[in-house]
Amino acid sequence: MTATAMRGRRTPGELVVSDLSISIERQGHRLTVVDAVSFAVAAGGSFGIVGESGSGKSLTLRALMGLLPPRVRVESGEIELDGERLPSAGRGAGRTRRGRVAMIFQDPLGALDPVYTVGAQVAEVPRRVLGRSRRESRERAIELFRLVGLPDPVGRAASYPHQLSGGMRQRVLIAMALAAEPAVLLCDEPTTALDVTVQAQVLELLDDLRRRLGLTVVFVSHDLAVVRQVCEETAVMYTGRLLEVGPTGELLDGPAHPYTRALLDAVVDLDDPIGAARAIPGSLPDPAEVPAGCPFHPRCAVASEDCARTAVTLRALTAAGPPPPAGSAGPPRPAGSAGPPPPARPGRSTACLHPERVLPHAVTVVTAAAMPAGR
Amino acid sequence: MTATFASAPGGMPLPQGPSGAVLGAAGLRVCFVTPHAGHLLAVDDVSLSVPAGRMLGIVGESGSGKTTVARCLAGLLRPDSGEIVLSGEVLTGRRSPAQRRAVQLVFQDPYASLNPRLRVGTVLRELLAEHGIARGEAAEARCRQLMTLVGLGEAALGGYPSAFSGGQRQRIAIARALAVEPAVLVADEPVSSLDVSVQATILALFAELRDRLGLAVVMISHNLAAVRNVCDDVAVMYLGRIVEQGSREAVFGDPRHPYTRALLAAAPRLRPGSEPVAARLAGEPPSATSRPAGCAFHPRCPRAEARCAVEEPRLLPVTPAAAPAATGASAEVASDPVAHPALAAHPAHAAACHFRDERPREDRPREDRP
Amino acid sequence: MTAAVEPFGPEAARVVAERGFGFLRRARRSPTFAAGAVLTALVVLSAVLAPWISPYSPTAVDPYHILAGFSAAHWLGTDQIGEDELSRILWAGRTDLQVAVLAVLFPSIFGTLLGTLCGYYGGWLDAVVMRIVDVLIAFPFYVLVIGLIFVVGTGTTGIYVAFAGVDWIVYARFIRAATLVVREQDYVAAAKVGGLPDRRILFRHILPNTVAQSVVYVTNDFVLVIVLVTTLGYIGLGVQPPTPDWGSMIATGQNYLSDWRLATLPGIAVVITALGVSLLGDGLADVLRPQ
Repeated sequence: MTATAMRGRRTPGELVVSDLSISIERQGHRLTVVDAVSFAVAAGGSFGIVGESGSGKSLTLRALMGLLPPRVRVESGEIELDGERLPSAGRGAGRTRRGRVAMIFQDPLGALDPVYTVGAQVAEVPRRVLGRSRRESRERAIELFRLVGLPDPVGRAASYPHQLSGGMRQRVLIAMALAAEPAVLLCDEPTTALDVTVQAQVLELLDDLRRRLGLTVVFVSHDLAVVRQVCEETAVMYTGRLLEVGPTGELLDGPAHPYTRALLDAVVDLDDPIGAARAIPGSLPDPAEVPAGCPFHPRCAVASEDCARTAVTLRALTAAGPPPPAGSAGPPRPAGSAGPPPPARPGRSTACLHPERVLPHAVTVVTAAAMPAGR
Repeated sequence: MTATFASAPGGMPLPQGPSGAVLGAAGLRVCFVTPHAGHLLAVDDVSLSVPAGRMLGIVGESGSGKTTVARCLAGLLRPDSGEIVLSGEVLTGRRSPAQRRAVQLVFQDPYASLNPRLRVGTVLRELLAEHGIARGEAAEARCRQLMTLVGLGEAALGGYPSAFSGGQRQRIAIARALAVEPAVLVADEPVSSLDVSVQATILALFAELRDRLGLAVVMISHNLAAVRNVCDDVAVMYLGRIVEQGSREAVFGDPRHPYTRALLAAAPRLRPGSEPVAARLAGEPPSATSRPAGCAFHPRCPRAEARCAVEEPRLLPVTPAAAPAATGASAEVASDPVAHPALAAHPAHAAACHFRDERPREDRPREDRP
Repeated sequence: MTAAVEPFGPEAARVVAERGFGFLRRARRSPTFAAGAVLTALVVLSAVLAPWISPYSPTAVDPYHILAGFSAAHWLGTDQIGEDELSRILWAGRTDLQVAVLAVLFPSIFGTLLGTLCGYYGGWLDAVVMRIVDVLIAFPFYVLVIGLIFVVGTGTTGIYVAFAGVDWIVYARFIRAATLVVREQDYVAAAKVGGLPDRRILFRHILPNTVAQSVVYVTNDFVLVIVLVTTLGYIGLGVQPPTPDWGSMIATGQNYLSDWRLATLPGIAVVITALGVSLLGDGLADVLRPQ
């Protein structure tokens, strides 16, 4: 089915990533920077990927967009939009995504061409991607500016990027992304460079647009609090691996992985008691020297010997309910033994071998589940 | 009394000014003339004071002028009017080497603030030699001490900046600032470029230096949580002016300026629903080249009235809501505007708003916004 | 909470240890640098060692072999008077290389220093110098050089003066631009705040970060000078006979085009030299970049 025929038919936007691995070339060697990452986002849902710099979250997003820089390659894995495979490189990459996947970036000034007015840049999208006429495109651009909350849309359309403030530029970027009527919106730290008051506005706008237009959003950030505001589900990434996935509120209130716990403890938050923040000991490993087993284990407060030996996979978390009644306390029973099975927590999984050490009573399914359970 | 560096011959424990303030600024005004945008009033009538052993946080968004203030304090920029006072002595445009030593600056971007071609040890030794602090073997010992002070090992002295992570580079930058034994450390967004997990450590380092060495620290930041974590006193800036200032407890616990309240409400929390309910701010900070008349904040202010567009509010002390337990000095606050910083040992809680003494009424709930 | 000591990890320590040899390592890894270095070394060595390795004196005449071709006695043959071609080429190289090196030395150093001062201080110095640069740049390079040579006189002195008077402007311009950029870097501001005097800031912090461009350009310039010297020699305004010079050899060879060697071999020597230095410059650009 050609791209032309697909336009005008809005796909639901379910995104499925399976076993995505990305490598970069450094001084002649290939290093794995994203390792077998899998997740799924329901149509119209919002999924956050949280991690520090070097965790691979931005590259994952770029692979979703088909925008990997030179020397960076997808080694294996699939990206599927509504069941259709999206190639991550080559000519098919752009063609399959046009009108379906759009992205907004961290630095709005860098993403806008300084020699064209913002109106012209946004209008270019309906013209080229959707084949609308010049006048229609211009009207669409103004409509979009109104949609993203730009005051005086007609006047704004005639402005150049440098004449606009950071918040306004980011709104222009959002308008440009929406101009192609995509089903999926990828966001790479879009508010990091913005002032706090403007950030609040833009995040609200993104959430609002998502609900109204039924967009599927994937939001990458290093800021846990921001992700909490925008994403229904979140994945925590470390050295290219997903360590934990789950509904955002539950994940941040009761993390099932020591790294998430450590991140939460390290963040300086306005509501915490003063001086409560605790840094994570050690430092981020170089991609060439990621520890074997669980990559976080050298810095982990509750690691065991197994952690250095067993490879990381996400395991579905089964419920960690109230403590079992007296007399039946003890380690998790093997499958098949007496006692009612604990109710499953939808969509939560962790790669930790000992989640109960950070989340009391947590139990994971013994057989590895590569993908989190349904929403 | 300021603690000095151990075994520092001729080290710099600067005498404190009459009020205990080591560094102060009075009526700073900086105006840039740009070819295409006209006059840009970056800093307008800013006064502050920093006593030894205390940390002042200057908070504001882009365009607030906080970086310009930092550069003025550090001597990189000459204000168009106003004075900078160091231990009671007014600093002129050209600072003497001794005066330069006294105020040091830590920059925002750890990846740009170190000379890529020089080893860490070389940079430190150069400074020690230039000011006659130590040479040869003594300099080596001093360098090692500095590294320990900032939490890095001796081996770091032999490295080039490229060998270090952002957090480590920032520590090196702090060591460089400490090498000349300053009395005041000005830090311009020191943790904004760092990873979340490292930010807390660097902030703690500043707190430790303040406590152990009795440094006066000025921390510029847009991150309210960071400022709240380590600063003793806070000044909130908007479009070149201080709109609210006071102790940390006063400003965060009892914000009196609508802008401060809006900032606190807008900052994302890890636990939502805990932030104070306040109307979302509409619009964006106006450009500094076109200041609104009257109170610069009035176009965006949920509390604004007709008066605000005409009459510019001065920075005046607020009447404390409860007994002045937290901020001891505010009980003796005079009712005239906070004038020369040399007079104020600890800044009284003050706000530049006509309605600063109002009990903060319930602003409209968030769902109710336009 | 106390600030935890951030361990200066083993990887970083390794990088620190290796840094001293970083230059050589990067140099090895750059094929352009290697090729350029080898070629240039060859040319330079043959020029330096000319007195010892050239089989004959360049002015020694062998009347029995006039315009002789390749032979065992005369590897590259002889010229129209009977002088050995190989020896002449080696000695001419010696002369020309010497002239070129000395010719680029002054403009590069003077231009770099002047450019740095203009970029750092600005003000009237910058205004005056840049106006001079603007005027000089308007003239075609060769026209200026030849003009100066007519004033000063031909020969090596003429070349030095002419080149020095004209070539510095290029260095001044781009070093000034580079200085303007480096001047705004935070580490320069830190040095100022640290109380370092301007002199130190210029030599320690600014120059090391701009001079790499000069060094690379010097190789470029060198090629320019070699060609210039050859051209001047060709038109008779350069190195004067009897000192052998590639340019005048080519000019003489023009009259004997039936025998391709006389006009071509010196030209090939020029090309090899230019190529070697050019590659070296390219390679240096990679190698000198701070890591």
